[in-house]
Amino acid sequence: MQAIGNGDESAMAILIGRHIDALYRYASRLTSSPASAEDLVQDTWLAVWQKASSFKPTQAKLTTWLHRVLYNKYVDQVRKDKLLTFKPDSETEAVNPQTDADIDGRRAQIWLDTKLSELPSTQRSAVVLAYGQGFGNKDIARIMGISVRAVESLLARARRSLKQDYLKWTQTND
Amino acid sequence: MTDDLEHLLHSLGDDRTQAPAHLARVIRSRLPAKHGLDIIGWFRSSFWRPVYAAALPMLIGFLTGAYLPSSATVYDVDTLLFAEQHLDASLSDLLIDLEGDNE
Repeated sequence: MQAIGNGDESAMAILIGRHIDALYRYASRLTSSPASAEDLVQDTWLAVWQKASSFKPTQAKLTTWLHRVLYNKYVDQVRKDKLLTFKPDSETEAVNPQTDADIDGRRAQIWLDTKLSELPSTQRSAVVLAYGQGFGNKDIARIMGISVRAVESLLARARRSLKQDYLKWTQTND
Repeated sequence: MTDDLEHLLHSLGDDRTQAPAHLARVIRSRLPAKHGLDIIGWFRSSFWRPVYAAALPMLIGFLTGAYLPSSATVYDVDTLLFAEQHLDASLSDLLIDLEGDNE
């Protein structure tokens, strides 16, 4: 990170190579849109390039810090209303329980993607960081700039909401 | 049912979606060149940051002329007392002289 802070582009290329997929997956889940995810990831890496020297290894792991930069960019963009919201009709149709009684893994996955995109952005972020990116509550709290208790509360509310919808979905598919 | 949902949520971790191949290239091409010293980065990481932060407004004040010597209102008492003792002048005369100089 010190090398990146000093403007070493080859060090930056190595860092991008190591972490771009994880950041892209997080951005995709947050935005539900490939185009918005790409924009968000680009803005994140530009911020990393500029802020590299402010990274403190003693305060946070590198992956946590990178996700925090991305989350902050996401919040900025949502505030500016710049971010595209994307809910494909075809996918919404695909999870309509009346069109197909079989619940296979793929359909359940599509259902989850749709429901995640409908959650409030803070709950969505907490769920994706916990289950998708594999972070513990402490790291999620650092990434989102909130307390661990707030993270627990967000996850509990998200689970409750998903559980209700999942129950309805499975019942109508029986 | 809850287990099914938990299982489904944990499957998010199996997602191995990769960023589009062009994305890393686009990012690298957009990186602005860093010329010379990263002054802001150096300032932020410096141990002496609080000292710089305190001294900076004063430095700006002197450079912009906000702190003109003629506008000084605090006198060096030791110097005045020394002058009183060795220059055969009273303290009040010296102060009057200083006020006169300031005008």
